Amino acid sequence: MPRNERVLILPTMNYLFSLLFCMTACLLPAQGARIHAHASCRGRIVVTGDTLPLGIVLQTARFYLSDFIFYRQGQEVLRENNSYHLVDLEFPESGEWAIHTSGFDEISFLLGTDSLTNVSGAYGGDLDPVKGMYWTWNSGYINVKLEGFSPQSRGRNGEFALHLGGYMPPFQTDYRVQSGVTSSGHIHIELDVCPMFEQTDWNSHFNVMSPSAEAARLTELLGRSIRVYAE
Amino acid sequence: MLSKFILSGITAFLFLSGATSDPITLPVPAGWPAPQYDNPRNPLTESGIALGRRLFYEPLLSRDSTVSCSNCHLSFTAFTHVDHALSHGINDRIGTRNSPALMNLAWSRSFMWDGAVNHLDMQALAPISSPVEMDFNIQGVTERLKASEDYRSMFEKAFGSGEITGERILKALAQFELTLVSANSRYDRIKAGKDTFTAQEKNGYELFQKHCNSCHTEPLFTNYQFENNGLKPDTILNDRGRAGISGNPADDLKFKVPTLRNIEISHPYMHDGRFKRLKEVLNHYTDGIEDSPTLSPLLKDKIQLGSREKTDLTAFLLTLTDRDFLFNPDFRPPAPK
Ligand code: HEC
Ligand code: HEC
Repeated sequence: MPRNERVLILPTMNYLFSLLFCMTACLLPAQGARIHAHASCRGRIVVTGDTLPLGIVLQTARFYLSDFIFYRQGQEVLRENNSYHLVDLEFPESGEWAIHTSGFDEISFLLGTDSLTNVSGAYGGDLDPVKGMYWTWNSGYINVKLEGFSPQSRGRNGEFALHLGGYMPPFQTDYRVQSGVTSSGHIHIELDVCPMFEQTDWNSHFNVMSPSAEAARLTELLGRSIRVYAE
Repeated sequence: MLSKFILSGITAFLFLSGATSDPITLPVPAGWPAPQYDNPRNPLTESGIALGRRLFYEPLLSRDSTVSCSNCHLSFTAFTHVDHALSHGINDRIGTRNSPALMNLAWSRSFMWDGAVNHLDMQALAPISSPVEMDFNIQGVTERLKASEDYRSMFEKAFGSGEITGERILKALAQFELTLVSANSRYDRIKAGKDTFTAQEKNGYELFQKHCNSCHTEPLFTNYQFENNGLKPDTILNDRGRAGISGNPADDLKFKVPTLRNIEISHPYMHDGRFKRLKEVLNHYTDGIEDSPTLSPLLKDKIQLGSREKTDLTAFLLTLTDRDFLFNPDFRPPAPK
């Protein structure tokens, strides 16, 4: 059951309360926590199809979070297996998963995919090229894909397409997030897309389609706008 | 010297991937370096190779189901698009590059003339998606194959379940391509002491070692580097080679050094197929080198070869033809089901 505010059109408050109770109690694995990864703009949750305060309409918004490591007092307590998560705002449940530890006070992960993954051949699951997150003319994963319309974009009809990726220096685009967090059971990873959109070059870089300095700059802006907090 | 593709953990990986047939190890020819292909998650199996072969000859991989990989890579011409300078794909749209011969791919460190692709598994995404080649996409291919009972059973044999995914399609194609090993030319038999060069070939071999071997390095006849061998840039195609991928001006006009194995068969030559005959290639190296800032230092000094010497060098190049490879029945289209 995805935790998506939009589906909570509920007849009675009772139902709402039992549902909320269930979300904390039923979904938590014993001895575990749950990740809720989503995107926002200025504190408001956004999903595909939303119009952001900047007038931007988001049609596609997908990004990889990978290589999750959990620490307690500086010591690694868990390194997630097969740690690749493609978060697609069209399917909010893609940002929800369980982790089998709760005793941590710090969490570390990548926005994007690491360079080894990018040079090691075909993978399945969230990394399967059928997900449309792999370049075809050039090797490598698209770490972040944002497409839509912006009133400022000089693209046709205001279109923009930001495909951010690249694993080779000097244009490496993975961004490591390291954050202290009290492990209450529900850990939110919130990617605020608006600081990056405020600094997008709408005149000449409304389409970014290859590893480049611009891709690296935009990814860093996104990475710096990730906030990790416990519910 | 029989080293292995899958060096360790065969059983562990089999367990993980659920593959049902026994892993195969391709022998490494005597004197060759260890292969570069390094996906322990893709052990070769007989059923995986059979599936890859079927996919290689499968027109369903193109949007209008007319073009398969073999349209541009024919087995009996060392898997190149013989006689086509620039390969054509769907609706006869012409690409911008000459299709390279496919062989000994397990030893390659990068793929395409500019090394755009870093792993054999991922290479097939390029032709499947290119508008001038198959003009389709891996999602669509996956959906089409899922509709076929026949394919479901082949995937089950190869990977332990009938699930058809992009990952599995790519892995199977890679498995078949890895079997395309050419190592039984006359040159190889001479090296193994089973045959001898003629006087002419021997002279050609010496000239080769002097002028060509530093790039077209034995035994694979390439050093896998990117080099500028002095071709005058084509002003219409304006292909900058490696620089288009690396963004580094020092890579301008550099292309991956191609193997010279089966070179007799894999004409036309160079990334844009500009030369039809080996004679033209040799004339290029002696008289056609265009100087530029990225020209290989090895070619800055004019190579002097008289016409006798060119004939001898050509005679040597012809010893690299491997008929066992060209006519290997395992590489031809699979028998229809
Ligand atoms: C329309 C013609 C065409 C089709 C169809 C085609 N290829 Fe190619 N292939 C080419 C060309 C041209 C290149 C060189 C491209 C470049 O360098 O940019 C190439 C390059 C390659 C390479 C790299 C070889 C090397 O040594 O760098 C491999 C491997 C390959 N193709 C396999 C395939 C497979 C597998 C398929 C089917 C899924 C396929 N090709 C379909 C034309 C084609
Ligand atoms: C500095 C490195 C270098 C040297 C030395 C060199 N080559 Fe090359 N050769 C290349 C490169 C790079 C290409 C591909 C160029 C392109 O297509 O842009 C090539 C292409 C070729 C081709 C075409 C192969 C094909 O499949 O299209 C032939 C044939 C060839 N070389 C023969 C020779 C011979 C014979 C010599 C010695 C006289 C020689 N080369 C010396 C780098 C070199």
